Amino acid sequence: MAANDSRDILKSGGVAIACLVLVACGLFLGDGWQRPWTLWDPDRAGILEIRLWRVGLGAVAGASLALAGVVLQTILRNPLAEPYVLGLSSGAGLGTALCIVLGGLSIGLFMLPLAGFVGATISLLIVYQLARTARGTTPHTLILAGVVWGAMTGSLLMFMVSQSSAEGLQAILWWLLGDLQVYSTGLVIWVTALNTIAAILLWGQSRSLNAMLLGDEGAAHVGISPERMKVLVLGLATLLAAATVSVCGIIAFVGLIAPHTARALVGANHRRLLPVAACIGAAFLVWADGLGRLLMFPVEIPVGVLTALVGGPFFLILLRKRQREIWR
Amino acid sequence: MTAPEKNQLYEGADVYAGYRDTPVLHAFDLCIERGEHLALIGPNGAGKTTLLRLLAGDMTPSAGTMTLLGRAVNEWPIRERARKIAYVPPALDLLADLTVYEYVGLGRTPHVKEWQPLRAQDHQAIDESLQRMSLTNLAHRSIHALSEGEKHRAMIALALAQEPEILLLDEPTAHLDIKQAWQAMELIDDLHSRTGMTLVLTMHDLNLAASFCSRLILIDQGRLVASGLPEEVLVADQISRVYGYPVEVVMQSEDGRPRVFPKRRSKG
Repeated sequence: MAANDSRDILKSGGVAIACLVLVACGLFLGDGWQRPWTLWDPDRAGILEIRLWRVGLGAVAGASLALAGVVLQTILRNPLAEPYVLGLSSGAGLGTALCIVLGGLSIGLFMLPLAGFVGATISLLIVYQLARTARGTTPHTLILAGVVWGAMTGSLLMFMVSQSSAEGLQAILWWLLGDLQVYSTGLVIWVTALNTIAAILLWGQSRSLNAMLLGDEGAAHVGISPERMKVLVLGLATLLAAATVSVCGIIAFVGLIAPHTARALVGANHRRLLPVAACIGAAFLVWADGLGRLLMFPVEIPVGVLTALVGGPFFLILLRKRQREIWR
Repeated sequence: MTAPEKNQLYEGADVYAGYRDTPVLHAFDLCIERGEHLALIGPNGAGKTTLLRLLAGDMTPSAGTMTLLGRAVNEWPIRERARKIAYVPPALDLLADLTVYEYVGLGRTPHVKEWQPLRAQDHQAIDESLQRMSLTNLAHRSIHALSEGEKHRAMIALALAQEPEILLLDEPTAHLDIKQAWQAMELIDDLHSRTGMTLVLTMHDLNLAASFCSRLILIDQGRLVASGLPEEVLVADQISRVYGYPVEVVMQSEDGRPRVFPKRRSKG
């Protein structure tokens, strides 16, 4: 047993380290193809700091969305579940925007992720209710309900944006498209702290998440209460997604690409799957952002646009595959 | 409530159960003792699986009581219940892919705290279960790569890793061919004679049930029809009436157990 265990750990560790190296390399991406050492040029000291924040935010956001994707897929037994597809992201966006409009910022920036959480939780409950058929939710009803709800909240959001003053308009538009620019370091730190706690709590549930692969009754047979797990895990996943949206807007499909890639590489055991998916999500988002600033330099492509361009086809491929082929 | 007898595990009194608008079990009385090897038989829709689900705690009676060791099955804390009862479903239902070892390891869930990694004794229990089901060599294969017979053994191995007192098996031979089915029943029977574990299974194959089980309970339309030794329950008239098809029953000389043979009705 030991030999196989250590081989699994080695493989997962290898993937994780490779991803973290990629994240670090993300520091060198942006405004034109620069030679790496110019980053340490004393004239450009400010740039390194900006890049560090930006890459850090990208890593946190990518990892958070990936983790949310993994556990949403497991708990909802739906390979297409993901914060954006389920309409959680736009719900969180609406919550955040309402908080700003209603003057929540006067209480403090820390309110933004919490408002996002409220919006996302309400969205999840509504989507879940809409998707229920006599036989529970099916993958397709859940996706349809999520897309419809996403469209509804999305247009409300656009309406609110259209009412805002012209000077702030572009910043809000960027945020809607998904943007890793750091406007407030305090907010980034607060979101990082929230999401780190949520991630650790989720990882602590690895064995119970594995048991949930047996289905509700199967989990109950080995002593796991499926109802308790659903509330706990969906709550944590919603928090991860909402906090991420509140700081960098609506970024689609990371929660689809990272989990499925990780499952293909290290299998479905959550003890390995969660950390590996988080690392892949982090690397993916940091590079999507970096390439977005490089490809059409000096024009910057919002990171959300790039992830949607990559993730859209990925989603369609998953949609066409048979259920059993996706998971295995 | 009177204290249950020492050897009595389950007691069901005047149990009614069903799904929403369709009642399944009617005024069912049942008593299961420690160490029994019991098969629930009856036609499709008779209520075998419903009864098994009541025993597992997946359902609660709509009226009457079903107790395990004097406490209503559904009032047992879920972890504690999982250390007493293990349930083997008719087919593998695992969403994503795990190795056989990881899958069987899920049986340790009720014994280990959420945050705690598996301990030496857990690995030992998993190894023993794998060995008992002759799966040691397949431990690191993907579970979905196994044959139907091997998958079924893996499901039993998971249940054994729970170290339960009671093993409930729903249609353990449903997806198996003759060789796999008889081997599976031999394994289960061997388990019973070695560990003294209480076994309750639902069965379609009356001959398998007669060959391996010490008691049969015949259920028809949610009511208990007969309960007793195979030769007491498998009586030609009774089986013909309940299943609605003529059968004859022959006593096998080798094992002294009855065998049921359907009789083809003459044409026209």
